[in-house]
Amino acid sequence: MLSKFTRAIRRHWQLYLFLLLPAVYIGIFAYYPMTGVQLAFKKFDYNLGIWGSPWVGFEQFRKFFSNYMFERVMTNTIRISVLGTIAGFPVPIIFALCLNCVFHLRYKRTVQTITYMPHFISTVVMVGILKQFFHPRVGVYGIFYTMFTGATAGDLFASPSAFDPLYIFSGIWQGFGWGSILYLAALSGVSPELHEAAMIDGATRFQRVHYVDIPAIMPTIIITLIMSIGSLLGVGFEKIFLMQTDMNMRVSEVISTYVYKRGLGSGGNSDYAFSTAVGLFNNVVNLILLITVNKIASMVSETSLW
Amino acid sequence: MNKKILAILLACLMVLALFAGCSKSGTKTDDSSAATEKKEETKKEEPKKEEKKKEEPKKEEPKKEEKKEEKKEEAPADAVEVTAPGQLPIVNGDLTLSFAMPLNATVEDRETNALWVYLQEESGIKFELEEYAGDEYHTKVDLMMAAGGADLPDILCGGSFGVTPRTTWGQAGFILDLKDYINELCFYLPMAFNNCMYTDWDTALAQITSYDGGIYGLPSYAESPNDRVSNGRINFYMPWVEKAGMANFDDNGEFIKTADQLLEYYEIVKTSDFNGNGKADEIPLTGYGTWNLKCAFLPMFLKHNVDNFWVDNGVVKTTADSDEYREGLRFIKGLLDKGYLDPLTFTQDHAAMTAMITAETMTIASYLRISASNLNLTTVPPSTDFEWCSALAAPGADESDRFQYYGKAIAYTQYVVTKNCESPEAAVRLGDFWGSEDVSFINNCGFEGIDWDAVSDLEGGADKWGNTWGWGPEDTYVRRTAETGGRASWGTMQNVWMGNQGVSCLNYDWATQGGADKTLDTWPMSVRNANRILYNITLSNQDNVFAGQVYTAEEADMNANVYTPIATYIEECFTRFCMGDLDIEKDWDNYVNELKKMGLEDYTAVEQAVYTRMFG
Repeated sequence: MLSKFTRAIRRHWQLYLFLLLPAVYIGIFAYYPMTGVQLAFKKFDYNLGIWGSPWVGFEQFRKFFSNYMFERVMTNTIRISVLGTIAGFPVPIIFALCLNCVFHLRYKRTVQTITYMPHFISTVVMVGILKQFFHPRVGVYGIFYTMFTGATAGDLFASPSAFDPLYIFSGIWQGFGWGSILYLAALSGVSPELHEAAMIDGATRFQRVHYVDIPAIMPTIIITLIMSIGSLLGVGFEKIFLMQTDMNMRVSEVISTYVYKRGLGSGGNSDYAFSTAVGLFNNVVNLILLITVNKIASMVSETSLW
Repeated sequence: MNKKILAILLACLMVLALFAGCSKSGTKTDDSSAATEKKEETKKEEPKKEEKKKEEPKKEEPKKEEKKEEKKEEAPADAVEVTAPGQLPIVNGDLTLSFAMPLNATVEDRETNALWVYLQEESGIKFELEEYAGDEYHTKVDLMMAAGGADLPDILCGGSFGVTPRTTWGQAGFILDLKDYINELCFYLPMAFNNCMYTDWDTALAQITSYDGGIYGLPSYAESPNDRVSNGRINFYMPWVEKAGMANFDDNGEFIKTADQLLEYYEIVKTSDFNGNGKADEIPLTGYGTWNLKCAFLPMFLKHNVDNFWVDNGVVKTTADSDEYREGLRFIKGLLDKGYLDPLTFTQDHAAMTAMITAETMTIASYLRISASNLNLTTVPPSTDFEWCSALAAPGADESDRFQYYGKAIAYTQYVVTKNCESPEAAVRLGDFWGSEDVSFINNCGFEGIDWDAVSDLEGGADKWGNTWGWGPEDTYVRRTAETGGRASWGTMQNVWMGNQGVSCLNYDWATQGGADKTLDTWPMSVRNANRILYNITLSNQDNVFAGQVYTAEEADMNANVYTPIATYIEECFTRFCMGDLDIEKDWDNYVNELKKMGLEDYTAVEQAVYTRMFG
C-alpha cells in the first residue's frame, strides 16, 4: 500500500524533479553553512576549527552586551532603520499611485526608466557621487551655498546631524523607482470596471485612488511592510561603511559595520566568534520582529506571511 | 520512457554540478584561479614531490613540536640540496616556492620585476606568486588560516603581520617557528642589522619574538632618520612664504620655528591675495586625517609623543586625558576658529588634498603631510616649491623649547613561512639573502650603475654632488633620473624594485640617501632637508617612546576588548573637540570620566606590565 506522499511523487514526478535542484542548492548553500552559527557559543581555535573549538556558553554575548559599543550600535541601527522605513516606505507607493494615474504612455515610460536608473548604480559609485555632489568647495552643493551665502559650506560628511538625512534620502532617491515596480504590477491588476463604476458614481481622481487603488494594493503593502520590519536590524553595510568618517562615527556605527570591523577588518586580529555572536543576536531580533509584525498584521487585516 | 530517463539524468547532472562548489580546488577565489592553474602545471614538472605527497599516509594534525621535528626530518635532501649559509645559489636542484603578497601600486608586474627575477636567478629557486588587493590581503590570509591552512602558500610575504596573529597562527601550527632556522642559517641578515645605527641583530630578534618564545617570521627594518621625524610635517608653499617675507633660513635649514610665527604667517595669508585672483580664497593650512595634525601641533604642549601611551622614567602614562593634551586641543580649535585650518582636513582623503594643491588656481599656503612626495618635479606646482618646517615651540615659548615627534624604528615581520613549505631551510635562506644589505638596497633603489651611482663614481664627485651626511663620497649615492637613464623613481609605477616588500633591512646611510631624486637642481634643497632632519632628531626624546609591545594572549584579549573601543573614542573625541562638537571647557570632565568608565586605568596597568616585562 503506497502512502499518499509516494503516490503524489509518482504522479507528479516531473514537478518534484524540478524541486530537487533548488532543494539541494538551499541545503548546501543555505542550511549547511548555518551550522557555523555554533561559533557564537564557542571560543574559536584556529587549530580545532569551528566544530572542534571549545564551548564557552553565552560568553561572546556577555562580551557584546557589556561592550562600550553595544548601546551605540544598537541605537544607531534601530534609529537609521526606523527613520529609513518611515521616510522611505511610503515613497514608492505614492510614486506608483501617481504614475498609475498618468495616461500618456511615452511620458510614463520615460519617467519609469529615469527613476529606475539610479538602482543600477553600485554602492561605491553612489557614495562617490554623494561625496562629489556635496563637496563644500567643488560640489554642486558647495558652489550654490557659496553663491547664495558668500561663505564656504560645511562638510556634510563631517556633520553627525547630516548623516541620517544624507543616508536615508540618497537611499530613497536610488530605490524608489525600482521599489515602485511591485506596486505598479499590483495596480495593473485592478479591474478597469471598478474605476468606471467609481467615475459613474462621481468619484474624483483622488477618491478613486483612495477607494479603489489603495485597497487593491493593500495586501502587497502589508507584505512589504512585514518584510522590511523583519530586517529592521539588517541595515545595509556597504553604504554606511563608505560614508563613515571620524566625525559621524558616533551616529553611523551600526551592527553590520561593527561586525565587519571585529570579524574581518582587523588585519589579522579577527574575532570570528564574537562577530558571529553579534550577527546571531541581530538575526534573532529580526526573526522576533518578523513574527510579531506578522502576527499583528494577521490580527488587524486578512493579510499575513503565514 | 526515453524522455523520462533523460530528464532524470539531466536533473542528477545539475545536482552533481552543485557539489562542484564543495570540491577542494573550488575553494580558491576566482582571481587566484590563474595562479592556481599555473601552480598545477609547475607541480607536474616535479613528479618526485607529488609522489612523495601521495605516499604519505593521512594522519591527524600533529602538535607543533612534533610537526617541527617532522619538518626537519623531511628536509629536502632527497629533492634539493640546500647550500651552506651565505652561499649562492641557495639550492642545487629544482625547488619552487609559492608566495602570497599584497598588490603594490608602484610595482608594474611582479613576474617581470627586476628584483623578483634577480632573486630567482641568484637563489636558484623558482617563485610562484598569488597577489591580493592590499585591503583584502590580511583578510584572505586570516580566512585561509581559519579554513585549516591547506590553501596557504609556502611564504606569506609583504604586509606586516602583528605579533598577536603571528603567535596565534604559530601556536596552531599554521606558520613555522623559525627560531632554530634563524640561528643556524641566517648569514646576511645579522650583518645587515649589526650595521644599523639604532638597532642590532639581537634587538631585532627580541622585538619580533612572541611571548611564547617563538619567532614566527624573519625581521625587516628601516631606520631612516627622515622617516623617524617626518610625522606631522607642515609643507609650505615657498613663493607665498617669500612674499610674506618669512623665508629666512638658518644654518639648520629652518625658517618658521614657533607657533607665534606660524600664526603670524597664517594671518598674513588670510588677509592677503597671494594668488591674485581678487578673492579671499587663500587657505592657510589643509591636510587629510588627524594623525599629521596631532603630530604637528600636540607635541609642543605634551613634550612627548602623541601616542596614547608614553613612558616617564619607567612609568607608563596616558596622553589623551592630560591637561597638556587639552591645551593642544584648544590650539587646534583656535586654528579652525580663526579660519587658518581647513575643516576638510578631518574628512578628505589624500587624493582630494592633492587635487586642491594642484588646482589651476593655487589656494593652499601649507599642508600637512609627512613629505611633499605627493607632488613631483612635473606637477604644478612642483615639489621643489615646498619646504617643511621643524617642530614648533608653543605659543609664547622660546624657540629653543621644542619637542619633535619621534617614530621609533621597530623590527617587524612581513616574511612568514607556512606549514605547507616543503623546504623551510631554503625559505629562510632566501629571506636571509633577500634582507642582505645589497638586496635591501636593490629593493629600495634598484641596481648600481643602472638606477643609481655612488658619488665617487660620478663626474665631479663629492665636490659637485655634496656629501650631506658626512660619511664620505663612497657612502653617498645619487639616484638616476629618467634624463640620466634611470628606470624608476620612488613613489611612481616602476618595475625595478618592490618598495621594501619581502625581507628588508635599510640602515641609516642607505635609507637617508635614498630619500629624494638628487638631480643637480634639487640638490641644494636636499642639503637643507638633511640639516633639518638632523636638527629635528636632536629635538626628540626617544626614551619616552613606548612602541613594539609584545602582548600575551590575555593582554591581547584586553587590548582588543578594552583598549580598541577606548582608542576609537579618543580619536573620535579629538575630532569633535577640535570641530566644536564637544566643548573643550564644558565637556572635558565628562570625556575623562568616560575614559575611566571604559577602563583606561585598568588597561594602563596592562601596558605597564608589558613595559616592565620587556624593558623594565
